[in-house]
Order: sequence, then C-alpha cells, then structure tokens
Amino acid sequence: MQNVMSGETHEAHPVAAGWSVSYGTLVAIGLFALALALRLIALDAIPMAVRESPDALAALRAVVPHTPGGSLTASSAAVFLAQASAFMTMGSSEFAARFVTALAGACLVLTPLLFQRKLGTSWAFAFGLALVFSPTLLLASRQSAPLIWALVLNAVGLWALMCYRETAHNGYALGGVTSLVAAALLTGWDGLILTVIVLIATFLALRERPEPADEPVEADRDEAETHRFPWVAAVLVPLGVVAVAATAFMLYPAGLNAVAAAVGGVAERFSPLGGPVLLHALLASVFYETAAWLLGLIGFGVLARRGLAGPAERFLIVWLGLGVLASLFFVTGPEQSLWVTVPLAGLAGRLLVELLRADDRPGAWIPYRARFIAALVTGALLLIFSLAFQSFARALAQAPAGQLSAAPVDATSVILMAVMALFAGVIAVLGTNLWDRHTVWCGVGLAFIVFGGFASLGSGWLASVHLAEDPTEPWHFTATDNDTILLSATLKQLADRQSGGLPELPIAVQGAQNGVLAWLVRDYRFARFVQDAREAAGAEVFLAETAGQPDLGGPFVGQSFTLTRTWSPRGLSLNEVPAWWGQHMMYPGARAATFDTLTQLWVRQDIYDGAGPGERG
Amino acid sequence: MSILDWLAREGGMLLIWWALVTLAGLAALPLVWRVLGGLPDRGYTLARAAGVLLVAFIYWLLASLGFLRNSTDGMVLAWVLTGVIALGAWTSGRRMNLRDYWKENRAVIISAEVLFAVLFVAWAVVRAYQNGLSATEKPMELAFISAVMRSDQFPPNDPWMAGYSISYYYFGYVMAAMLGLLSGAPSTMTFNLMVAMLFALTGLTVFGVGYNLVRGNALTRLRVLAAGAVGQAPAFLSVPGRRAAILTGLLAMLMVVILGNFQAPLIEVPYNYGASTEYLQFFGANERSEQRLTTATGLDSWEYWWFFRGARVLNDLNLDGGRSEVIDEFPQFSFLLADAHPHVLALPFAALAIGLALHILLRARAPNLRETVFYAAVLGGLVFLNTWDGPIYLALFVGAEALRRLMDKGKGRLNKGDIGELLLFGVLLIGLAGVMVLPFLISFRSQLGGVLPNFLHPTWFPQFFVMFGPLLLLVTGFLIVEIWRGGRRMNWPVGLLTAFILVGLLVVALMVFVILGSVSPDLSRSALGFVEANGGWGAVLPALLNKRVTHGLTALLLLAGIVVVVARLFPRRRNTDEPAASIITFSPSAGFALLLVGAGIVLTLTPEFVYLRDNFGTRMNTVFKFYYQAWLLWGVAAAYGVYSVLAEARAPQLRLGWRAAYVALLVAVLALGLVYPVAGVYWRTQVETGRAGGFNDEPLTLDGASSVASPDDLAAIACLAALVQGDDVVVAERVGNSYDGGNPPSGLAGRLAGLPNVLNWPGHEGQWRGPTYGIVAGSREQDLDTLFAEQNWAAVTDVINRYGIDYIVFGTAERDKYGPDAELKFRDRLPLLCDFGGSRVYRTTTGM
Repeated sequence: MQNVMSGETHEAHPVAAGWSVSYGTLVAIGLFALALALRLIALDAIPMAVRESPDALAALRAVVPHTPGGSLTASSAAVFLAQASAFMTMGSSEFAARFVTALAGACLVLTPLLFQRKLGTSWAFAFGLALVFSPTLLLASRQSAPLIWALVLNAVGLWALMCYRETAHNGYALGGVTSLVAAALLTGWDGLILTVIVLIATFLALRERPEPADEPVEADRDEAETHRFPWVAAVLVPLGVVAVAATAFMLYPAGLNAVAAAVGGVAERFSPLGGPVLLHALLASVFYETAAWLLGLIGFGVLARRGLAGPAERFLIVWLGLGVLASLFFVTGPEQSLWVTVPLAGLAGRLLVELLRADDRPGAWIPYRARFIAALVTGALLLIFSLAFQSFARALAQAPAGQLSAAPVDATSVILMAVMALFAGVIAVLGTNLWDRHTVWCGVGLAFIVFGGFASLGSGWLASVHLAEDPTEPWHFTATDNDTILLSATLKQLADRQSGGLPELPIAVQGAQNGVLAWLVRDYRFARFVQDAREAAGAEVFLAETAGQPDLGGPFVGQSFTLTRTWSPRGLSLNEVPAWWGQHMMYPGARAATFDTLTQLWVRQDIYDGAGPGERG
Repeated sequence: MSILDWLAREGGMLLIWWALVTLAGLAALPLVWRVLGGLPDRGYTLARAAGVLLVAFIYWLLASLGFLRNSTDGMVLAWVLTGVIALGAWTSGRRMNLRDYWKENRAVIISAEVLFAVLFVAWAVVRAYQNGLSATEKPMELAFISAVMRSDQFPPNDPWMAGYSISYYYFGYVMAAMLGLLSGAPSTMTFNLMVAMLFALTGLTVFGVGYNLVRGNALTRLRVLAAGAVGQAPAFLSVPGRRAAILTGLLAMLMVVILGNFQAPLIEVPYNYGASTEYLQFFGANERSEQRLTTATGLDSWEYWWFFRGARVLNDLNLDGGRSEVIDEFPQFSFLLADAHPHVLALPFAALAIGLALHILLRARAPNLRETVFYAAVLGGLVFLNTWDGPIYLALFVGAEALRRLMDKGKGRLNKGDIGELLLFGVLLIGLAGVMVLPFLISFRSQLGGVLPNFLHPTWFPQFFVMFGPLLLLVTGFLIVEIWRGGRRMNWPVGLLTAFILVGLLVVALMVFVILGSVSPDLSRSALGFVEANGGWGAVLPALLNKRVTHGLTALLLLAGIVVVVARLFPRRRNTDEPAASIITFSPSAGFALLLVGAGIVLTLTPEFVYLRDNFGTRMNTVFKFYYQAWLLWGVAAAYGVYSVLAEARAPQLRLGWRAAYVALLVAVLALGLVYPVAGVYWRTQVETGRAGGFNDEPLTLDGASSVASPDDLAAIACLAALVQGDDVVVAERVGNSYDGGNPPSGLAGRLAGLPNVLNWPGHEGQWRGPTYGIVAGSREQDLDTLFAEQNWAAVTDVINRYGIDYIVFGTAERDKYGPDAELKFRDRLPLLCDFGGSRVYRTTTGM
C-alpha cells in the first residue's frame, strides 16, 4: 500500500476474511428484540378481546372439530392461517391465538430496512425505531389485527417490485405482485383498502418525480418495462397463491369465505362518517400517536420548505392523506388507525434524521453536541412541565359539568407550568444567542421526539396490558372484563371436580357463538348453545345472558360475571379530555356511563354441592 | 302522482337492481368482446345476460364445492373473479381499439342502454300495480327464492320438504336470490323485481340478436371482400345501415316479449262482444265454445282472469269428449302472469344462446377452445336453469356450425368429415356443459321417464293458428319470398326427402311404441284398458284415423315449412361444373333465420307425434316447453323476415305492391298481436286490482307480501324469521294443496322466510322427486295431521321428535283445517314465541 501523502510504501497484508457483524445488524437485532419483547410479554395475561374472539374461534373450530359451536368465517385468511397453525402446535390459549401475529408485528419494524438503498441507512433505522415505539402498532400486534399482515405483505411487495425495477428479474415481479395481491385479499377488508392506498401512493409518488436534467428521460424505459412485465403469470400466480393459502392447500375449502368477506367487507363498511363511534380510527390514532402526528406533519413541512421532500417523502404523505380520507368514508374501528401509523412513523423518522444531520452549511462553526445539550435542557423542562400539566388536567377533570371555574386547580401546578414556559423562552433566547436558532430547534425537536416516543410507548403499553379491560381506552371502547378470567377459573374448578380435570363438563350457553363467552367455553366439548333459557332445563351448568333466575326445573345457584364493558366518549366533556388523553384517566362520574354485558353462571345444586357422577340428580 | 310517489319510495331499489345487472354485464364485457368478436357489436348487447349468468354460475359453483358460503361477500367475490377472468381473457389476445369500437357501435350501445332501462322501469311499474304473489305456481317460486336467500350452503334446502335439498332446476332462483340479497330486498319484493328484470333482459338480448342478425350481413360482405375469395362479393350480401339493424332489433324485441297471440283478438274479443256459437266452436277453445249470455260493456266486464286463456288455446279432446289440458304459453303471458318459473327465468339466456349460435355462423371459422368453453358454459347454465332448453340449444349450436360449414366457400353440402366434426362438436359441448353443472346433475331427480307416442291429440290447425298466428304469418311471408329468391336453386327433392324422412322417423317411432306396447305387460294393459273404455278397437281405430285426417293440417303445413327450409338451405347445383361459390344464394343471416324457422318447426311438429313422459302422462308439458322456445325462435326469425322482405338491400326485392301488402300484413299482425298485451296489462293493473273502479287506493309497491297471507300470519312468520339464525330448523305447518287449491296459503315459513317446512304442496313435491317421492316423503302428511289433530300429547311428541320439529305455526291455514281447539294443547305445553292476533308460533323442546 502506498501512502499517497508521504510517498512511502508498505507491504500489503491481505485482510483475513473472518465472520463479522456490522453495527447495523446489531441495531436491527436490537430493534427486533425490543419489538418482540414488547409484543410477547404478558400476551397470555390479557383476556380475549371482543374483536379477537370471532377470528380465533373460526380458526379453532376449523382445526379442533369438537370445539362447540358452528363453523365461522374468519375476517382474514392470513390471521386464520396464523392462528390455525398456532392452535395445531401450541394449543388453544390466548397466547397461541396472538403469537404469530405478534411475531409478524415484530418483523414489521424491520421492513424499512428493506428500503435502505432508497431511504438511506439513517432514515431506515429511524423509521424502524419509530415503528418500535408506535403504540397503535403495539396494540394491533398484540391483538391479532389482520392489518399487521397487510402492512408486512405490502412492504415485501413494494420491495420486490423495487428489486424488479433494478434487476428486471421476473421472479421479483411475480413475488411483488403476489405479495400485494395477498395483502389485498388475505388480510381482510381493511387490508384491501390499505393495499389500494399504498398502490395509489406509489403511483403518484413515482409519477411526480422530477426528472433530473442530466439523466435520460425514463418514459421509454417505463414502456419497455411494461412490455416485459409478465402480465399473464402476474395474474395467475397470485390468484393461485391466494386460493391455496386461503383454503390451506385445499384442506379447508371454506377458507375462501375469508377472501369473500374481505371483498364484501369493503362495500359493507362504506359509510361516510358512519359507525358506532365517529371516526374511531382517527380518534385512536390521534389519541395514541399524538407525537407522531405532530412530528410527522411538522417534519414534512420542514422538508417541503427546504425542498428536501423526495419521492419517498411524497409517498408517505400521500399515503397519510389517503389513509385519513379512507377513515372518513368507511366505518372504522381502532385497528384501522394502522392506515396512517406507518407513514406517520416514517415522517417522524425522517424528521429525526434531519435533526441529527450535521450542519454542513459553509461557515458552520457550532459544535455538533450543542443540539444535544439543548435537547437535554428541553427534555428536563418538558418532564417538569408534563408533571405539572398532569396535575392541572386531573383538577380540570374533577370540575362539575359546565362549571370549569369550580375545578380544584392546584396553584402550584399552574405556576410551575408558567415558570417552565418562561424558562423555555429564556433558554431559547440564550441558546439562540450562544449558538443559532437552527441548533436550538434541533435540540427542541430531539427532545420532543424522545419524550414523545417514550410517552407513546407508555401509552401503548398501558392500553394493551394494564388498561386492557378499561372501556375508556379508545382502543377498546368495548373491553373484555377481567371477570372472564374468574369465570374461566370457576368453570375449570367445576370441571376439575366433576370430570376429573378433563373439560367434559356439559354446559348450556346462551350467547353468540362467536363471542367472548364462546371463547371461554371452547375447550368444553359438551358445551352447547341455546337460544332460550328453557332449552337449558335440566342442564348441569348454564350460562345465561339475561338477568333473573330462569326456570330450569330445579334448584340452581347463581353468580353474575361481567363479560364486557362498553363506554362511549359522546358524553365526555371538554374539561375531562386533557386527563383522559394525557393520563388515560377517567373519574367515576364519567366512567359511570358504561354499559355492561353480563353472564349469569347457574350451577345445579347437586353439582354445586360437589355430588359425584353417581349422585347427581 | 302515485307513480312518482312510488318512485320516490322504491326508485332506489330499481336503481340498485339496474346497477347490479349493469355491473354484471360490465364484469363480463371484456370476455364477451374476446369470445364474441365475430358479432358486429362484439356481443355488447348480450353482455348483460352473459354477465348475470357467469357471475351467478361462478358463485354457485364455488358455493356448491364448499369454497364459499351463501353470503353477499361470496357474491361480491364471484363478481370480482368474473371480472378478473374476463380481463385475463381480453388481455391475452389482440388489443381492441376502444375509440374505434365506440365510433362504430355508438348507436347500438345507446339504444341498448335506453331500451333496457325503459323496459325494466316499465315492467316494474306494471308489477308495482299488480304485485300479487299468490295463485298459480307463484307461491312455490317465492318459496324457492326465500329458501335460496336463507340457505347457508348449496344445494339449498327444500322449503317444503325439510331435511332435503331442492330437487328442481334452481339456478334461476339463485340469480334472483343473489340480486335480492345484494340489494337488501326481501323475497316478496325480489320476486317482482326479478320479473321486471327478466322482461328487460330478454328484450335487450333479443334486440341484440336482431341487430346482429341484420348487421352481420355487413361484416360478412367486408370479410369476403377482404379475403378476396371471390372477385366481387355476391350481390346478395347487403350492407345494411345501423338504423335498419336497430329497427329490426326492436321489432324482434316486440315480437318476443310484448306481442301476444291471437287469442284475445280472435276469441276473447268476439266472445265478449257477441260472436256466434258457430264461430266460437270453430276454434274450439276451452270455456269459449258457447256464446256469452250478455255482451261485455267494457274491459272491466270481461271474465275474471280472461288473459289466462291465452295460454290455454290448444284444447285436446279425448275420445270420450273429456279434455286433456295443454299449456301453450308465450313470453308476454308469462310476464303478465308474473310467473317466475324456470322457463321464464331461462328466457334471456335462451336468447343469449341464439346470439351465440349466430356468432358461430358469422365467425366464419370453426370455434376455438375458448369459444367452445364459453358456449358450453351458457349451455350448462341453460341445463341448470330449465333442463328442457339444454338439448334444444345444443341442437341450435350444432345446426349453426353445420350451416357455417354449408356456407363455407359456398359448398352447399356437408361431407362425411363435416358430419363427424359436428358430432364431435356436439359431444364436446354437452360434455363440458355437463362437467360444469355436475354438482347440480348429481343431486337432480327428474320426473322425465322416456318418450310416449301421441296417437290421440294432433293439434287442430285453427288453434295452432290462434297460438302462433302473428309469427306464422310473418314467417310464412318470409318463406314465400325465400322460395321466390331461391328460384331454380330450390332443392325440392332434398327438401321433400327430408320431410319424408322426418315423418318416416316419427311414424316408425309410433310403430315401435305399438310393438313395445304389445310386448310390455304394463303398457299393453294400459292400452287395452283405454281401448275397452272407448268402445273397442272398432270404435277407437277409426276415431284415431279420423283425428289424424281432420287435424292433420297442422302437421302438413309444418312439414311443408321443413321442405322449404331444407330446399333453400341446400341449394341445387345446376351442373357439376358450376363453381361452388355461386351455389349459395342467401346471406348468412338469412340462412340463420331459416335455421331458426326450421328449429321452431321441429319443436312444434314433434308433439304432434311423440311427447316426453312425465307425471302428467299427457303431452301438456312437452307442448308447453317446446312451444315456448318455438315462440322465441320464430319471433327472432319473423323480425328478420320483415327486414329481409322489405329492406334487405341488394337481395332480390319484391315489387312495391307486394311489399306494400307485406307491410299491411305486418301492421295487421302487430295491431292484432298488441290487443292481448294492451288489454291484459290494463286489466291486470287496473281492473283486477280494483283501481279502475276506485275500490283500491293502496300505494303502489313492488313488495307483494300482503297478497301472500293475512297480516297476522305475515307478522308471525316475520317474527319467527327474525328469531331464527340460518335455516337449520324444521317448522311444522299444515300441508296445503298445490296452488293453494281449496285452502288458505300454507307453508308460510318456507314460502316467506325459507325456513324448511315438514311438507307442503305434496303434488309438486311428487313431480319434482319422481319415483323417489314416496321414500322421501314417507308418512309426513299423515304425521302432520296427527300433530295438529291429535289430543294425545305422547303421539304429538312422537311426531315432533321423529322430524326434529323446532317450531310449530298455528295460523289461518291450521285453524281452517283443524279448528281452533287443536291449538290448545300447544298453548298449554309449549313456549309461545310469537303471537299476532290469531297466528302464533310455538317453540318445541326438541333435544333438551
């Protein structure tokens, strides 16, 4: 090797070709591990949600024939396959129902890395990091939301088409189209909408790209690609794959109904500004991803002003816009907030990259670390401010309706907030004078990103674990109550006593065959569903949906269990919003407007008394 | 004002149905463009019918194979799949220039769209006025629609034989149910919307056939010129303008779906306005042989349901003077009656099949695989819709291919190779069609049991004329002109030979039956018994011969028609040196029209000698089904005939005087033929409903529920329908007679909600299930009597348990037969689920 500067030469030594792991790989593993941990911890501890039970039961009844109840149509073939394969290998637990989709959700955070060549390494990792911290993704992953699969398949599909464009290899074309068609048809009606959104955004972003003056016009290249594209195979192969996947290799032909449900669901749910909760998806998104909304939109604004918004940024903003539009025209639930989650995360990640970019303007002299100092200071101020704000918000929430002035606001918190705001102003001026405005804003931005990230993650964790049964959480305005765990344990105890630990207890169940109650009795092969209480006459155990003791032809002992609780934000007053949004807190007065669905467990007296098989009446 | 009010309330539903059918057409359009490219409009006017058939077929097939449940989601998926298949077919071939296509076909596209919309709305208005769903077989049709709408899977449950699936061709009901479920209409509204849709779809498709038939001449001429096969295109190939083609299409539509037969002008009107007994007896129509006691003062004083006589023109009289009923329906009658029977449900698709046959001819080459599969799909659909149509249109497809080969390079002959390939084509079609509808064929039990000879009932020509008069006159004029055009090319020897062979075959068939009858103990016993009952051989044989002679004119004229058709289609060579190209002196379209005439003749001639054996034991059903198709075929042929006689440019034309006479004939035919529909529509919508007399001011509605049962019964069934999920239940109601004859409407749970009844209309169930009926039904009828009449609760419980009865309905029909006291035992022991006035539904405690 020649030292060019000094002219000296050194003997060249070959570099030993050893196994090495790059920092990028380590970071990716770290992201994945973090995402996986967040998605798997306490997965089994949360009762099956109202939205989850139909799909789980559809899969369970397909693979375990003696599961009580009629066969059901899954809302998504992908979730059906995931759950069915899990049930076959891991048993019929909540964990098994959720595991595979949780795994897919963890894989989703790595999908931006597929586009490193287009996005740049920094942005790809920042994007992935934003996805790790996304609360809606966390919630959806932990509750087997089909849109998780749609997002993964769309990402893979786009990546494959990108590779096709670069390599012209037909395999990529087929793979890409297959992935996209699978995303459209195998992941439910919302997956179909998402795929359409992604395709439109891709089309518009690519169409709008400026043509650099020093590059040849690519119109001819596009036309050549169109002719070369394997159209016939690209229609037949994906359809075949969808048919095979939906029917589990023809082992379960009725699985095609899930594809039908996806297609039909789009028409069924088309209802502008309709649904039990108005704009539920947007509400959930804004509630949980507040930081992402702010940072994403600000980020795009900043980039657009500086002329830095390239095709990828345009793709994300168009996706975001279309996602919002879709939320207005379809009846949505909280899972459909995923329509906008990924672009928000992408834009927030882009902003992060921009904030971390070294100042390469000519004459720049401010040290790089200055922005981190500003971020630290801002972060500290934010923490104190937020604590004071939380106290203030709690006080507001306690105010009687229409009497804001009667709120027991603690003066200290107000003063603290004012002082922090003042401090922030002073420090901003100081910082601007010491360094420059750009550095100060970078620091502020970084602080908000970190603060927002952790706040979002905390919000998501609260909603998915600790407040999973709280119906005031926008993610589950109808929440499964923890009473169901008690009910399950009670039934198990009865079964232990009556049938030697085997789930052979004959139970009559009055309720929907695809509801939470049906999930609870899934293992009891002698359970049967009845429409009227009179049909349960003589049964040993009866789960009734109406209050009051039914005439069952004998003495029964009963206990009530709450199955689900439903709460609507319609009665929420403005002064309660800050505490609700910031701390997921609701005072008893507002919480009282909860509608509970109960089930009454009736146990025949002799069973209750522990009579053996020969002694029962 | 009331129509506007009705549009404000139910116009949305019309729009939805129009949109659904249009979307089906659009989904199939790329495929139709690809496989029907030989037609001048590339099949645009046939696309709606093709689309509805394909979407419904794909949906039914996937559901029957267990891939899909019977749900709206599955229907939407089938729609999408149809579109994908169609797009795939379209992109796999040469691209079509859409702009040029629009320029070329703008007029017909706009005409077709306007026509479809007008026909649909017009007949929907008629049905809104007259929305009744009782009488004749409408209850059964409604029950099938309800059952398909309710059923979770295919084959759908039989609503009147719990535990079994429908044993009938139910594809048409799948179409109706599909449109009903997607639009959210209840079955009682779906029924009427379906009738209106069938009217419009048939009219549109027939219009398309007529248009393409005329315009096809232009294409053929251009093709011949382009091919350079001859120095100059033959003079007979005209280049008709679009206007002539559109007018012919409209005329075809008029002939097929609107025009009535001559029953109204020649029998009904004279009967009501003082015709002599001799006049009436000349036609010998049933219940119209004696002069009416008083002259009618207006349409509202015509006899109740006089229009029904339009389908009872033929009057077969036995040797003992007794009457053997014959049904001779035609499309306008079916729409006026609002009959959603399979032959009506299949009508648009039969017209589609005619269009496909025309395409086979105009394509000027042998059908390729894609086209053959498409033809087979339509044929399979017809078999599934109305099995009788299958063989008829299979023959038409093969006939069209034969004609194409005949005209190929002007050969004028078919050689052995052609015959072999035609047979192969036919076998391929029927094989593919059979495979496609295999899930239906496996479970289908037909009542047909062979062929029987018709010794007794040749058709009296005046009755035949009354039945087919409008079309016969125009077709005859066309044939006469073709004879004149054929001139010395008319191959009379071949024509006569063909007629002779045909008669010979039929006579041989009769002889075979005589021999079989003498050999088979059952047949000979039956035949001898008949002879004995009618006075012995000495009386019977002369009577039979006399009938053949006095009633032989029909067969004779039909045979004459065959002679003309064959003579024209197989022209005579003047000498062996003649170039092949100059032999054929008719255009492909004219040849096709002649083919349709010939097919119609065969269909109407056959029942003169033989008929298909079924539960009725007479030729009633054979005449019914064959005459219906003959009307369709002759209607199209007649419309082309009018064009050909009056306007076919560059074909030898009659002198102006003769053409004027033909025009006068046409005007007379149309005027007389329109008497039936005009009077019929007015009578049904105004007189029968009481609106004309001011007795009825009910708002217009397409929902005919109120005509089905009493309000209490309706409410009780609606209550039950709301409570039950799916159709895996059994409902016990009184067994009613077919046509609700002599009893209040029964089987309401099956009829209105598609919930399976233990048994209802046993007569019809027997027809559908044939020899297996006894095993299937067992003692259901008696057991249901026990259930309702018996006071011993143990016996009642035994019946409940035997059939797994979940619900018992006690309403008007049950009270009528068993008396109010029969209900007491249910009231004392069973939970009451629904209680509306005098109609109640009880829940049994089965399986507890």
